[in-house]
Amino acid sequence: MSRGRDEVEVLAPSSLREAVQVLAEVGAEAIPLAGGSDLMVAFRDVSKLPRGFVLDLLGLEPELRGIELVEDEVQIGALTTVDDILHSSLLAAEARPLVEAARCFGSTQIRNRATIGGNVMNGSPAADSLPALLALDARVTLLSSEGPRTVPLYSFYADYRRPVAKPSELLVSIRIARAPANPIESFRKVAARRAQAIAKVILAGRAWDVRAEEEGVRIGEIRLAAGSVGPTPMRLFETERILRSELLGPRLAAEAVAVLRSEITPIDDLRSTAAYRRLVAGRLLEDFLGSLLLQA
Amino acid sequence: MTERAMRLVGNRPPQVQARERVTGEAQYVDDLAIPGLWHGVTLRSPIARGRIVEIEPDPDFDWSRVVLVDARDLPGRNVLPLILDDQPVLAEREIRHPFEPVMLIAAPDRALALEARNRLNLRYEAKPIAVEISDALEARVKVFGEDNVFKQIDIAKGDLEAGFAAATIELERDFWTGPQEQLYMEPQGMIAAWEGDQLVLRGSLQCPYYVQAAARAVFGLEPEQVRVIACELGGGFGGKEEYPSLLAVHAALLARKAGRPVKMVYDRAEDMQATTKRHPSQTRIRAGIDAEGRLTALAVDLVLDGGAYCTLSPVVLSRAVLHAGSAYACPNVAVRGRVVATNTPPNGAFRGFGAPQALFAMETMMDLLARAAGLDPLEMRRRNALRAGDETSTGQVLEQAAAADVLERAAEAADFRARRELYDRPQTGSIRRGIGLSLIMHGCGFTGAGESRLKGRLTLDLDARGEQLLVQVRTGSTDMGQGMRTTFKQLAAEILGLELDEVEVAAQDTALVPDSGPTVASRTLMIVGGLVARAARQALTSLGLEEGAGAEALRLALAGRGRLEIEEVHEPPATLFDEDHYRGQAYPSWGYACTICEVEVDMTTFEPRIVDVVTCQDVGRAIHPGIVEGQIQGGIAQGLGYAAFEEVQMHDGAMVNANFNRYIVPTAMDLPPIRVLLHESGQGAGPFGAKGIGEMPVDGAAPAYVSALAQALRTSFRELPVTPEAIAESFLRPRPGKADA
Ligand SMILES: Cc1cc2nc3c(=O)[nH]c(=O)nc-3n(C[C@H](O)[C@H](O)[C@H](O)COP(=O)(O)OP(=O)(O)OC[C@H]3O[C@@H](n4cnc5c(N)ncnc54)[C@H](O)[C@@H]3O)c2cc1C
Repeated sequence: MSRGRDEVEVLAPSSLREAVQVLAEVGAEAIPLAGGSDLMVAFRDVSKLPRGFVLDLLGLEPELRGIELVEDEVQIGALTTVDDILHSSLLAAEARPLVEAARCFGSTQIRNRATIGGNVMNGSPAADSLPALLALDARVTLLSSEGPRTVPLYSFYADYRRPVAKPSELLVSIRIARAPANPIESFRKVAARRAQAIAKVILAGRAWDVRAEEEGVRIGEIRLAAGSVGPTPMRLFETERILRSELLGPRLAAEAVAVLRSEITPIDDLRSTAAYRRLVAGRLLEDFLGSLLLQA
Repeated sequence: MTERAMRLVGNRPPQVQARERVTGEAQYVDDLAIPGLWHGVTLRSPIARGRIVEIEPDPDFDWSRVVLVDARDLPGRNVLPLILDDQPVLAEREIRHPFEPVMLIAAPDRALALEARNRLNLRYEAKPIAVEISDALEARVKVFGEDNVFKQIDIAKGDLEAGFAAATIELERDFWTGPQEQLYMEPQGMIAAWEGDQLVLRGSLQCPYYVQAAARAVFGLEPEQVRVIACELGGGFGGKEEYPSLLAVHAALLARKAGRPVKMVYDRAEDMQATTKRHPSQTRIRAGIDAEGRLTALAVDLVLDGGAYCTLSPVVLSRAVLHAGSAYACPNVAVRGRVVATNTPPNGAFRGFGAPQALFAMETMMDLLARAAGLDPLEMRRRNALRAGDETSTGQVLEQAAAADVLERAAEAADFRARRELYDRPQTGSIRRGIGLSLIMHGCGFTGAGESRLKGRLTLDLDARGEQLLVQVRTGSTDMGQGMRTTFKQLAAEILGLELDEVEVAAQDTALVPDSGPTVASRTLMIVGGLVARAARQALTSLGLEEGAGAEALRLALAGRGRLEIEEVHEPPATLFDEDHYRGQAYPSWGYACTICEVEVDMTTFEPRIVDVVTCQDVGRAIHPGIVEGQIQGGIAQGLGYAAFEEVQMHDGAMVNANFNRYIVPTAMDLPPIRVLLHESGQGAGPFGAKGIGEMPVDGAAPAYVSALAQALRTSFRELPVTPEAIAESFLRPRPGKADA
């Protein structure tokens, strides 16, 4: 990797303990490398080549790769690949939106390399897993030599691609709530083609405790999140609040769509236009609310 | 030839080199290990137009480790010779487009060359720019001459005003198409080495003799002093027709100054930013039809954006105007075509070569006329399709015209009528459906008198001196994936009565093979393949043998002289086409194709999905049906990319989405199986009645797609590409004044 100018050292710890120790010493100059599917692309730009150390996480696979039930939550290790997620029967039962996100993620080759931890830490507003994780109340666990801490995903991004993790911290796992009874869920990614495409708009949702009443449908609980419509992936708190406030019918649906369109902050870029993103995000919500009315 | 049953023609043997290509054993130019090789890179202009003030080398860099070349290193005129000789090899004072080459750098490794390039500070004064066709036509900024017009061509037939007077319906509409990137898998690459006073060029290129001519002119060399070798080619699509000449001259300049071989291979971004694309176009069509829906008058005003230098644009324009009327009979026609200069990188050859732009406009216009006349698209085309004995816009009388045949066959296979009627009924759900078609014709081979000027040559060598009979085809035609080596073997072996592996196709090396003309214009099988057949028959005649004689008979007949070399030259009379007035036989053969496309649009997201494609194409004769089907499927995929996905985004004349994740080409997941029906009329000008098939498939895909989309959404689209954003826009804000919508 080095061309003789700025020497880079590759460190390959074989345990989590060793890894956080290393980070405690050289954290600021170290770049953790998981699947490399974001980093290797970034490294093509010479100015983004690492300066000090690359911390190869491969040796942590035994500790950080896997999906399991821990108490009332599903825990996904940071080195779990997107392909693992796609084929997990536990997630198929507990976290359908995340499995759907994995299904439209990159291509087979990318799904084999890409890790969920890399997706979270890279923190792209267009990352496929993030709206799904947000809709599933995900919390991330970080570990440093001082110990672990847990942060809800909705407050994990300070700004465009800026997770609040410190250089001395490694992401070790992501926890999501188990599926409630009779959830109504959705994950939609809109992109320029059916594979190998970065999202123009993503909307993920989970609602439960949804009951048909005489005058309409009551939504007990709902989580909504969107991608590619602002500087960070977004939990749509305002839209959720409106939807819980009254019975769902055409009027509330229209109001919720309007709130969503003002809650998001899409831009024009090389992939799409702000107008298209705003329009389509609203229509995706309409669609999801339509399915609530049908399934309630 | 037709009495005898065919042994090899019509079969599907594995393609020559197929295994090597799939396994990665094939050696492309970047794979060649050449001792002492240095690596070259290019310093390019960051602006579209301006004056170079100075190039300052960073004093802190050790310049002794690299070699720099600028325009002063040219031995003679600073011109890359082509049609107008207007393009400099390296910009000297004036910059005329973004990414224009200014300086070349070579170093022992690529990283050092790139580092050196970063240490060169190009200072410039920017000037006002013209980057759109409309800027060029206004001519406030003069990129070329006084009016920015590189070339104008007019075609006139009949009495246009009388034609409009006879019309019961008249429409006038504008159409636009954007640029398209060839996107060959293997980027441009070249290795130059001076061996004594001989320049040896190895590269990824379609036309070895074009490269030879350019290098000879720049360095003042004799033909034998420039040896050009076409390496295994990872795709071309026209992008490696004229561009490799510039790259070859650049690499040769560096190699000369460095005193060692130099390799230049572009990365994907540079390849997309700096090299040629399909010409953007703007076309106005005014057309009249009578009460039966038959065309009475057609006036087309077509403008292509040539970019900053002329390159092959006049020839592209020629093909565009000759295809402007599509596959229809019309007694009164006026076509005006112009190609204009803008401050964008020069546009150039790309599969279809001007025809896709013209045909998108005309085919979409036919749908609009059909709608105005209350006819369905199929019936409209039935009434207007060219038939044998009809005349084209240049007065070429067609001896054969399969337009109606391919139309009916495709329509039947796709069940077009019924589906069109079904989708005409009110649709309300979240999925809207439409089916559309296009009918086009494509001229095979060089336009007009082009072939008479080229005089393509080919040699067939039969050698019985050794243990085994050696039969070798020597041609300068290249195999960029279209299967030249395989089909030429089939042709020679069929006629001589040999097995495929008893015929060899020599390497595409100017030291070994004659100039067969460029590998372009759907001409290789039809014209040069025709020379293979002629040479094989000539060999048999001079040996007193019958067709299909076989190895034993050949060896016996050759026993006396040991070896027989036949050279064939293609020399059609130059008088068939009048280039001054655009009258006469524009092409030796026309191919005909009907393409039918069915789409669904998701009304939540405005994402279209192509659900079915059926095409029937008149290929004359399929020498290798597998290769022909592959060409058709690939061409249609490329045409659908042009229609629905591929958008070159420009800012101040520069492509800003130059990578695979922003310039979107469809993958296999975006396309349905493409159902191909081959129409073998057996009436092409090529061997066994074959026609050229390389380009035609690309022509009809975009209009068929847009036709289907228009039906699904009850509107019309007159600009390519049609992205989901454009669909959403048309849904929200139907364009005002669209009576045709
Ligand atoms: C061709 C292609 C297609 C793609 N398609 C998609 C797609 O469809 N959807 C999508 O969302 N993304 C896509 N991506 C982006 C990428 O694959 C994902 O973001 C992936 O999840 C990154 O994971 P990784 O393991 O490869 O991360 P890496 O590249 O190894 O790392 C990414 C970032 O996370 C940091 N990091 C990784 N693990 C940890 C950890 N445990 N603790 C702390 N920091 C860590 C790294 O330092 C780096 O900054 C695509 C990429 C490519 C090249």
